[in-house]
Amino acid sequence: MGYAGPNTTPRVELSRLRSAIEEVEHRSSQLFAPSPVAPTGWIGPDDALGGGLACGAVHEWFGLMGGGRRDSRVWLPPISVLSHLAARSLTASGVGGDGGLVLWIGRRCWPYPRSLRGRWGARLLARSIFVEAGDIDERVWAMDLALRCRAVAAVVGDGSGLNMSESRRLQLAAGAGGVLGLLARPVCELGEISAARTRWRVSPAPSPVPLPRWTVELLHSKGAQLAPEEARQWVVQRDDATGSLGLVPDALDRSLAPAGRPAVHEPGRPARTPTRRIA
Amino acid sequence: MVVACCERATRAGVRRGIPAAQARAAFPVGAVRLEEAAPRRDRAALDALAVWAHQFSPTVAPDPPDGLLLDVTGCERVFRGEDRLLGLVQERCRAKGLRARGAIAPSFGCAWAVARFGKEALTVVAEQEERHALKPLPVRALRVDDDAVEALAEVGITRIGELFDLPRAVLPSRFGADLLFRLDQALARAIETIEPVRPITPPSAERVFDGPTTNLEAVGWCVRMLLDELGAELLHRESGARRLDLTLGRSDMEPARLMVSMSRPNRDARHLWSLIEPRLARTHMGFGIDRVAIVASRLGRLEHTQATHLHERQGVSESEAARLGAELTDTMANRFGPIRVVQAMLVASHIPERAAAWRVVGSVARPSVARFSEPCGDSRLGEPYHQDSRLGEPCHPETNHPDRPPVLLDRPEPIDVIALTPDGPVAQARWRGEDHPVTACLGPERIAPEWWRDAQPTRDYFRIQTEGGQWLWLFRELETGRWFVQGGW
Repeated sequence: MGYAGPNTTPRVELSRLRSAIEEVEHRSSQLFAPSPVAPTGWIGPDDALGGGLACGAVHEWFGLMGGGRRDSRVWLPPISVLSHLAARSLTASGVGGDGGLVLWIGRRCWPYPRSLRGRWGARLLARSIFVEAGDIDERVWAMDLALRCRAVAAVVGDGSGLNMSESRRLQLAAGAGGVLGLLARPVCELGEISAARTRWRVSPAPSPVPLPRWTVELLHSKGAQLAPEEARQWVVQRDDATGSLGLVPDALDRSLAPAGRPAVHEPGRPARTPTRRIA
Repeated sequence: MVVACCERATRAGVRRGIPAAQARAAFPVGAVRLEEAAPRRDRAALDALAVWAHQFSPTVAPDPPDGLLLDVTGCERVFRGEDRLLGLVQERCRAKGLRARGAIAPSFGCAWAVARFGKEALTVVAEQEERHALKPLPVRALRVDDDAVEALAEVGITRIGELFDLPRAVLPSRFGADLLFRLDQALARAIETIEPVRPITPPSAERVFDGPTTNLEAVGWCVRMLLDELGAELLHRESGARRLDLTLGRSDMEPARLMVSMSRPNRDARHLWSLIEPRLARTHMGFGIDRVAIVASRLGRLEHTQATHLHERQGVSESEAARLGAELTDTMANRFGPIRVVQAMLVASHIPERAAAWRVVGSVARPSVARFSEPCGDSRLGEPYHQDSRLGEPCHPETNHPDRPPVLLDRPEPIDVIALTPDGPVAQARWRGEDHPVTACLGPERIAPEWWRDAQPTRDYFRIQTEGGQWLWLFRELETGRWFVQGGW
């Protein structure tokens, strides 16, 4: 009796299959388990993301254009937004003591230290380490290393020129270290595919008050259903005293912003602000 | 008050103890460089010099503020005579950029006096010749205090020789006990104690191979073994290495030297190896390596810690985080060079590009790399970090200062600006080849130059919002009227 018959073999295969499915499900449940999040401090985006930006993942921020020219050499990363998020991640990280480190990799995304103001700015500055890494290879190496380090709360990196495999490498590194990865990228690279968990676009928004405003738009969030476009845009405003960014409520935004130019100071008349002499 | 001055200043009439303003007035403007006296640093330098002077004698004591006492009894044989020894000391001091006076005498007191007040820069006083050598010297040379010198001057005694003529018995009662004691010390009749410094030999480990090898694996294995040994020694001393010097003796070539520095004391052989490994792989082996030596040339205190397994899942404990963070920065500094892994610090200045500076991670809290505007790029990688006091004093980050943009350009960029009235607000700006209608203009905030530094134009700063919503930080140079962009939000 050399032939086992068709009835026995499938049963073995099925049990094997079942265990394989279980394994995959287990792994995926691990993958999509509620991981710690770093709240952005803005109600709308936090709700859309389920609490905040996921730690242990990379998030891409497509930045402002410097001077409006559309080539990648002169782009300005959205440093205000990134430093706000990095400061937020300090409180969210599970590192004991003073909290984890924040690494700024690539000179282009270093903030001017004087712009980090108030108590949270001082704290962020004390925990910050700035790495001047030149080309994309150096930057990816440094970001990979930093994202794997459990003493790090957030890595803010210059992600210009990143390709798909490098982006996947960073995503895996962030998953291994549980570190929040924030990549600044130029708008001209919006068409590139990447493995980042979320993608955002930051663009300057005209503001009726003498405080800088930005429109923050959630472009893509892996594994989540996106709301219609209007519901994925929020306006944030820099708080002069603390340097952090706060959400501008919709109503306030509409009532205050006139259709034309929002004149803080009418051109043509001499400046009202008294001259301050500082030596 | 002048504490010390250079030879040229002495020739121009500057003396110790005169007010600094008077010293400044003796020279044309800008020709004087005044630096604050740092007695503690001077003392540390003197101690370092005492350690260095162990090449001449096993017993060296620093004699603050400006002297070293060496017990050279018996040492002259090694140097073939006391004259030669003294000459050698002066020569080596000159090689270090120091001008030295010296004397060898039967007693420390006599040598002290002759070295400072003798006619010659170098003097050897023979046995039994102390009285003769001391005779013409002023009383101050006996290391007595000013009161005793004044009391002696009142009765017309200024030279030590005149003291010899006085009866011994009257000296303590009239001029204090100290004078007689010091006199006896100088004449080698009283005992003198000194506090010699003992150089601490840094922990080191060394292996000599049977014959030269070009096998990288063998060398690497040997280095790891040495690191283990060093780690055990460091653990014993309860310290960690801040800097490692690795010497690879190559046959028929000069030895290769590698240096790795750590931002935080470390004695973990695995981490130290991870820092050395990439450097070792790039080292040219020549005809083979026959000797490997590692010296922990800078140490830091590193206490014993208890291993914990309690926080494994929840997060990282504080000490663990500090260790991991230091290892991360070390690894990066090892690849990019230390001056490209920096921390920021704020400097007490209102000039934006001076108000922040970078310093190497783990260094003291002073700006050590560059001003903000100076790129700490490859051009300066080879140079040692300079600690430039002109960079300014560090200040506290929470100091109240006006809001600054998060993006500050390395160099202000020229911008064309149209204003409706000469001193009025900006109406239109042309930057990087594009026209931007301006919808809001805030300012001016005037920042005057720091007059105590090199001349710079006064700047009037404006914050403008372009039609697209982008905020820029402009300034106008008051003297020239030219406009620049310095940053943006």
